[in-house]
Amino acid sequence: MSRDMMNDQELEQLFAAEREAEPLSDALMARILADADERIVARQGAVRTVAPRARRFDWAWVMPGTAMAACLCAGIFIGLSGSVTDTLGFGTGAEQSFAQLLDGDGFDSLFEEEQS
Amino acid sequence: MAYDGMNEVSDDALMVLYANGDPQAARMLTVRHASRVLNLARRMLKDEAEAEDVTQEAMLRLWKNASDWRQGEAKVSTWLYKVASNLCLDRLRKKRGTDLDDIPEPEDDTPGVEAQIMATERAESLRDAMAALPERQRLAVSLRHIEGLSNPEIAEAMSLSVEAVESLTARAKRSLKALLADKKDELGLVR
Repeated sequence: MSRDMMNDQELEQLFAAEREAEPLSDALMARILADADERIVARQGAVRTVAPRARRFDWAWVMPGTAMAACLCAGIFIGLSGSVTDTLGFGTGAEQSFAQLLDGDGFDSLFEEEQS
Repeated sequence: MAYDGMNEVSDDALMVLYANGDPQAARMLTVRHASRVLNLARRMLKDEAEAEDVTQEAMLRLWKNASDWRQGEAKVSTWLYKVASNLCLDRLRKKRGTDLDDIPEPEDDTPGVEAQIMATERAESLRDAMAALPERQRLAVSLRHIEGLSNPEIAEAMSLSVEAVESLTARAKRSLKALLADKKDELGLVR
């Protein structure tokens, strides 16, 4: 018996013997293919249930958009109305005029003030 | 669809066909790859039933992944070796605490033609020697020298650098040469 180290060529002969892969048994092949068929059926089932749901009108997506649009309109309205009152000269002494309105004199008090 | 030229269809194309519900594509992929996965698992686990379970599980993961398969990103064979390697390493980790009595005895040799006996003895000697290697060395040397993967492919399958793979295979080969040194004459190896 030799105590020499094995060389690359000798080791390669052992690898070559091992390389000849044994084929799959019929039973294992059947198990693997049954899994494959099962996945096909599962995927086709999933597609059938998901597809109609994707086409349905979804209020959950529409409502936040509507709310944002309403806020935007309100912001534009407030901004524009502020600039209109400034242009017409209602902006000066606004706090006082507003207090007069609340006191019950109404819009007439504002005109009286301007005339005097 | 006819499959007369199925052998020329690429693995990527077969994955697309399978994802579209073609069972013949699954059969072709199984014929191409499952036996190699099984042999790798056999060498790693030295247990036929467990090796078959690992093969079935690896193929099942391939089927599950088919609809998300990105063509050209990974080779089917490398992807399968990666999955099978991880499954084997997981099982070996769990097995470490197992009682020795639970590990099945090797099957008895059946007398046959001399050449067949020699081939069997060579294969068994190699498997025994490989079983003595650390798990990652065993996996790397199997993929490199038996399954014929390139070092970059093994690096991908084992999530390592190419340098680490080279180091693992070199150490594994050195150990195998030492472990099998006594059996050179017995196995009738030609220099």
